[in-house]
Amino acid sequence: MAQYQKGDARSFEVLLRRHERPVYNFLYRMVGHPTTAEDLLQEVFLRVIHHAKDFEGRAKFTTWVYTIARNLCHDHGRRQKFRKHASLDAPVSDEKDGASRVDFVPSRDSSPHDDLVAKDLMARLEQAMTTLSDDQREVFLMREKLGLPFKEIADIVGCPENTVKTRMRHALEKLQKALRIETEELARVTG
Amino acid sequence: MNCQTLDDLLLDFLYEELAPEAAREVEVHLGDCPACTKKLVAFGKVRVLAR
Repeated sequence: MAQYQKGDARSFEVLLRRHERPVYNFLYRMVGHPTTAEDLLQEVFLRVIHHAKDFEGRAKFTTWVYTIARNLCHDHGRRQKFRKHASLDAPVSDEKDGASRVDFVPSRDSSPHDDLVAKDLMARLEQAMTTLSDDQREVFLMREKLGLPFKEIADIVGCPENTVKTRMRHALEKLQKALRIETEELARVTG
Repeated sequence: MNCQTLDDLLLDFLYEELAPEAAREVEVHLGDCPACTKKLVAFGKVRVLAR
């Protein structure tokens, strides 16, 4: 980023390549629509370009980018009152290999029954994700899918770290509760 | 370490954000406490499914 601020345009391409996919995945899971996520992704990087000179090196670049992305999601949500979340069929990795959560493979020697159980659990998890509040979902996505530490998430969402952890705990408890009745099956398919 | 202290550290432990020394203390407690272990495993299962 420092190089880009000094006028090195190619450094922006490097930044773009590094962050494009994870930022897109975050946006997609927040707004639930691929075209909207693409539009917001463009807006994120436009803002990065326009405000590059305002970026202060004290903050991490990822913190800055996800703060922009999150704010755009919130603006979009207020405009659309659109609270759907991305399907768990959505790509989950940075690789464009088409992998999705329903491709979850329980174990090497799983039976067709176990495969069905696993897919059923995925469907239940997807349903459970809809019960999370926006605050809980964004924290869950940032920690679980983006791997951001709690401190950085706190910087992005602008609240104390303990608040972030409370939201994360509530998210995990809701998801756990939604899956609790399958405890024995869960143990088998997840090993 | 008691159960309340562990509960405060549970998410940090789950996401490997604890310092090594604190993590070892958590592991010692988990070795003696089935209730805390059960809670940790339950969250861990959710993580596995959410990946």
